[in-house]
Amino acid sequence: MSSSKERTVYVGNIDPRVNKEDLYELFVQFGRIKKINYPRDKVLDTHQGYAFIEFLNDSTVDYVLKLFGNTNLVSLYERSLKIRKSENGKEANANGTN
Amino acid sequence: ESNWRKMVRAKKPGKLSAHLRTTIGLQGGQLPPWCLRMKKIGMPPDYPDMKVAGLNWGIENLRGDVYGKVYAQHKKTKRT
Repeated sequence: MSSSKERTVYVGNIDPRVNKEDLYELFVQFGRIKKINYPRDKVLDTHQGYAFIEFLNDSTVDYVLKLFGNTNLVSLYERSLKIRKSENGKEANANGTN
Repeated sequence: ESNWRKMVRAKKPGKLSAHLRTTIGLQGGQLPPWCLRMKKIGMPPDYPDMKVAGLNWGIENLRGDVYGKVYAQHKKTKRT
């Protein structure tokens, strides 16, 4: 069984108007989702512009990376989403506030 | 969390709400931008039998919230 990190993609450049439900609705198009971590700034109570999407299967991560490639495949409010493999120690259930 | 369960029930592959369409900037009658890529690289591993209007499903199915369909949603997916 894979670790949750291997099932997780990092999504950056998210417009603050985007909510968690929007992210779910978009990414469920590409695979089944276990968890979304979309950190908020504790003081400002705004989203911080990035999220971690944990899928049920790690094969979905490779698929999403392949689907997006290096292109600006999807824009939300005209800001193109940046997709990366989740980096060391960052995962969907990490406490993402900085 | 009840919100999460509600979301899982409401949001399905192949369906995009008017709200998300607007957010993405999709015009009416336009396929989502990832459909062409799906044609190249294949359907998502969780939905191998996914139908997408204009690809492997009649284009007339593209209407309202629907651009595609997943017929068999298995409760359990294989671990890889």
